[in-house]
Amino acid sequence: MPALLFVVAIVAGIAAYGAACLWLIAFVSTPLALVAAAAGVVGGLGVGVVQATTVLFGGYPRTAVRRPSDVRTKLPPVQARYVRRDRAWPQYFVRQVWLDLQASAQWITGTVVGMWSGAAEFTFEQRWVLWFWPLLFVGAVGMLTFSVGMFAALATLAAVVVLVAVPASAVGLLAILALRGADRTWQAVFHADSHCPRCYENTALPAYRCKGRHSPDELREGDDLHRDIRPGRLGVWWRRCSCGRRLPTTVLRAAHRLEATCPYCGYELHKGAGVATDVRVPVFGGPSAGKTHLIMSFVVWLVGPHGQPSTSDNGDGASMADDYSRQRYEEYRELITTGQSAPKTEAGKRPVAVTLRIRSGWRHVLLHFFDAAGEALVDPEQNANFAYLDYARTLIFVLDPFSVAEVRDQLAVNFPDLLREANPSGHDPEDSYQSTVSRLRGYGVQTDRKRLAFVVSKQDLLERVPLGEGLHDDPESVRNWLVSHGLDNLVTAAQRDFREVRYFLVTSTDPSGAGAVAPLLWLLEQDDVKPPRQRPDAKGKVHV
Amino acid sequence: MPVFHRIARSLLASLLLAVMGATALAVAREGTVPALYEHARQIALTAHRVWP
Repeated sequence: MPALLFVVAIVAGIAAYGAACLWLIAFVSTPLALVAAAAGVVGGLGVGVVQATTVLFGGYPRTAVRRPSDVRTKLPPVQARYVRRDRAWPQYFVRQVWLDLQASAQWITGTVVGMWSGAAEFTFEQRWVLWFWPLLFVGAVGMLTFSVGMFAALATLAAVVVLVAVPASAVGLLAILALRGADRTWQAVFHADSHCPRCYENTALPAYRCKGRHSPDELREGDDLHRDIRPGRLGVWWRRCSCGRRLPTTVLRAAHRLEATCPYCGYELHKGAGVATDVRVPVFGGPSAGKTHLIMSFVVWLVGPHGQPSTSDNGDGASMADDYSRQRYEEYRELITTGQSAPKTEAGKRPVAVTLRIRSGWRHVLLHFFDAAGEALVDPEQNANFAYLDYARTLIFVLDPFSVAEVRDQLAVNFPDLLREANPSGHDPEDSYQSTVSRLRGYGVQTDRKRLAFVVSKQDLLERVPLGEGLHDDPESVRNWLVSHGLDNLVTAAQRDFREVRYFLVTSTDPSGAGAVAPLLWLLEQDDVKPPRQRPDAKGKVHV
Repeated sequence: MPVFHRIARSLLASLLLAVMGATALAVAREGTVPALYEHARQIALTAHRVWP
């Protein structure tokens, strides 16, 4: 009997519990679940938005930030072999925007997971609450919709990020291509690149030095140098250096605002390097052929004999571009005005470019003269280092007419004093020519794309002997003279080796520079550069 | 952090808030909240009728 009563009580209890649960479901849980669902969504959205905006306003400390110190390891490497990633802030839409989204997702997911695991832990520890499962159902619905709300906020943030970042990246990419194209087009049209006066390397992309505050370690590592200033992942129009300084991108904009340096040796380049038309004038030939004198007359003619830049009313003019070149100019001017001979160029020293800056209209030109000793030019070991020869569009070969065996032999008998005065080059002219041309070919230089100014020097002395009769400052006349004096092989070789050869007869010591600068003017013609002193005056007369 | 980063982040946060605000306004205009409340009330009334 008690057993029966016990069973009846159990059944009644279960029935009462079931009825209570049903009543709770019908009258409390279901309506409350709807309200909880609505509140959960709204709450989830609200919390999600607050977390996302907190991340965006920098209030979430776990947000990964891509800093200048990370760019070398966390961004794709730069293609060019000599360029490493610069220490600058990566552009926001390149990486940081995705890191912000990632941080938001991390925080929101963490909150949801934490909420569910907390609830599960509580239920596991306080198992008696399971008796009230109809009410727990309300809580579960609220938590579920809260989670949905949070993920909806995250999805909205993701949609906003995608809608902003993707078009911004596309526009940025187009802008990058356009700006890089502008750089390349400018450099191609105006033959603008930069040339290191010390190591002779040629680059279209100089390294630029940031003048902001950098630690001694950064300076030692060269982290103040921006080796790839082109628009890209580190900025489209501007970039922010690790020191905080804002720097312009593109070579066109950086050229006149930042200090350019050689990316190979770190030597300071001239202002405007990379955008100014860069003209290299390598002069080669045998020892004592008159190379230095020719360069002297070029330089003094361009800058003027008074040391002042030969500027015109509109600001056009030529001036020495650096201290070393100014010193050389002073020496050249002194030698030319006093009529002295130039000291012999040292064979053991690598030539440093004497550079002039020419402003012609709105164009800026950097004109580099390279004067290597004839002994060094004919020595394969030494001339291997003269990389400047490779990059010139036009070369100047200087031939001393008194070094031609036939001329020397004849004058030695009849005009020994004149021969002494001429100080003839002892080196065979053909060998002088071949040494340099062979070196160019050996380094893969296509000489048939270059021009050659074939300069016969010492015109003033040659005119004083019968051998010089009939020789005029006319290309055809000079060529014929060379052929008729045993240099037909050299003439043929020059015309075979180079795209165009023009012959000149000059007196390098003539301070007026009337004929001496003709090779220079022909050389500059290719780059469409008109030196200021060649420009017509008010009466239309050209002063040469 | 560069100024541009801060500007871009502010732009994104503003856009997120604008989207959320616009959604809230749309929900309010559609009368979704009162409709939800009414739906819950009807469920309770139906239950009361079935099981008085």
